Amino acid sequence: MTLTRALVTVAAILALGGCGVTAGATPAPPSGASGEFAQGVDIGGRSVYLECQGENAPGRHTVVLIPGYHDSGDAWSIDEIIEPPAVGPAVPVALAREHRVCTYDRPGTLRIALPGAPLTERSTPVPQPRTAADVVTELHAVLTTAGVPGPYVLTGHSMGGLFARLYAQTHPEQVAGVVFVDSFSPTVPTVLGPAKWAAYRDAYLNAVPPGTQLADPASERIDVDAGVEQVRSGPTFPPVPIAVLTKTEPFQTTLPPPPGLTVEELNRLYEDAQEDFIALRPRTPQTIATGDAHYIQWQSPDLVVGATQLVDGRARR
Amino acid sequence: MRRVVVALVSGCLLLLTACAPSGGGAAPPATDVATAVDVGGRRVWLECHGPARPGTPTVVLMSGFGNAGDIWDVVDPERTPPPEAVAPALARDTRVCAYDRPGSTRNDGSVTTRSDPAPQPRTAQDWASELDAVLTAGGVPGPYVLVAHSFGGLAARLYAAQHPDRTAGLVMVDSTTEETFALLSPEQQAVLTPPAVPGVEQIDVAASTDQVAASARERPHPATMPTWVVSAGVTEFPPDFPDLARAVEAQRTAQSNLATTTLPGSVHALADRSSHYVHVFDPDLVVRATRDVLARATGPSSGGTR
Repeated sequence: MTLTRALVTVAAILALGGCGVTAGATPAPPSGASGEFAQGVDIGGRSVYLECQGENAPGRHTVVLIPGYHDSGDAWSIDEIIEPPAVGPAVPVALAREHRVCTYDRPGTLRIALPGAPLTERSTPVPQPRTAADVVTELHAVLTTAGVPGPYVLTGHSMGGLFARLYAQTHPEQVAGVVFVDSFSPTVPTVLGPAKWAAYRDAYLNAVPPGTQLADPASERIDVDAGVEQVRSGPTFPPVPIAVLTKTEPFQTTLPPPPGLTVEELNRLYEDAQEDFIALRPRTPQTIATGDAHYIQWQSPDLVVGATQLVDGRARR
Repeated sequence: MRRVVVALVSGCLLLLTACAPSGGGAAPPATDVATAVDVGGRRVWLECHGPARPGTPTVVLMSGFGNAGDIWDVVDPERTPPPEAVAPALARDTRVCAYDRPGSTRNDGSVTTRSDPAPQPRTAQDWASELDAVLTAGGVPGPYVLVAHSFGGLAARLYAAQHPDRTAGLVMVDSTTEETFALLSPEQQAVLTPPAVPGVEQIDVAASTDQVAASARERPHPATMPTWVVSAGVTEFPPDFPDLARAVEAQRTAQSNLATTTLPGSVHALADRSSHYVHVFDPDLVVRATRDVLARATGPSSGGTR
């Protein structure tokens, strides 16, 4: 770790033009590359909040935690969110022992760490809706601009798994592996069929309960159909190790069930669609997190950490 | 000469165990044990490696039918990059033991001579009782996390039910269940029953199944015990196995029922395209499962911030 930091410091000094004798006097300021980093990253006139901690032990890869639809980085990072009897600290805290680990706020996502879960003020709002490709472009710009050392193990929750998959297809040289945490499979619309897919999409995924933050025009909105098509028509998924984590308990929601679709059926078909992730690469372990609902990282952070470490261990170096 | 050295090493282990300071801190130096222990007048070969950490369970590897203790040292040569085998990977930071059941076959194809023969066939209860005797005679400090492959899973469950205070957790590696054979036709069961060879391990499947089913009724597995069920995505059957599709579906059902009903609260990992020997094909997955059971068994105080 000390060596890594020293090398980063040297690299920073060389980049400055080699000022000679003063080298090594001051440590490099925190950046995406090293140190405790928690600030906005300017990507062409707007700011996206990025937080990183930990340093990569020899042979380890940086882990990028991609939150799900409407979720800010809080969905990964806050320790208060861990639900007993879960064992261990929050995912980034555990991973930071051996990895550089980062997460971020997409514009318009919810700060669930704050009272009332307001829209994030840490990232500049953008016009909504957006597609998965927009999200991939943005994340790539954030990681590149901040100098986060790749290639990455991408651990994506829910819709974040769809983004991770498209990211790997789009930037294969930057991806060492992917972990799909109860992720939204691009086969969900097919598995559900047109009518039930439309009901699920409109009543759940894109629901806008009046008087909530989701009714704010700046709130995140994703054109999921476009994202599914981008994944399907995009480049082949690269030959990197992956792992799949699957819940057993139903989605927890206060919304009424979508018309023509019971919650039980939705859960069953959502999990059936995980097969598509497993089939992406040979020898993909699927771990069923018994007793957990959709936010496996809150109920079993150890399983998310373990799956990420397994993929990291299988990744090329 | 060699026996003298072994005896000295064993003595050191006993001293270290007796004098080990309580509490955390740096790992004590690993003391390798590789010796035959006496269980009721016959010898059983026991090996233990890796650092014993106060407050952390010892991992005990239970091989499946026919396999000696060295099966946990093997890795599928087609894995690239090659992962470390289960036993050495765990021994990096955990005390881990394995042993040769009488009549088991080593990786070189020879029937073990490190353990004395015993009358065959044997039952899961025989295996469980022998395990208890080996751990006691070997002075292996408990509690234990039992990592059990195939038929070893039946014995591990019996041991856990009979010694709940000494069992900290279970990892079932494509373990046999009370349904595994019951779900097969008599014709299919006959194909899977190997011919008896003198001196070579044999099992009494029917008696063992009855033992485990009765134990499960009387002493259901506590959902609070950290448990993983690791199942093979592909189940190996002999060529020309009768009604193969039904057999494959039966094993899938047996594994699912084991994870959801028989061992409630288990984490269930499915090893895609692995054979029955998941610990050989995907050792990193079995290691991950074992480490997780160890972490859950020792609780948040093992490093959690909650």
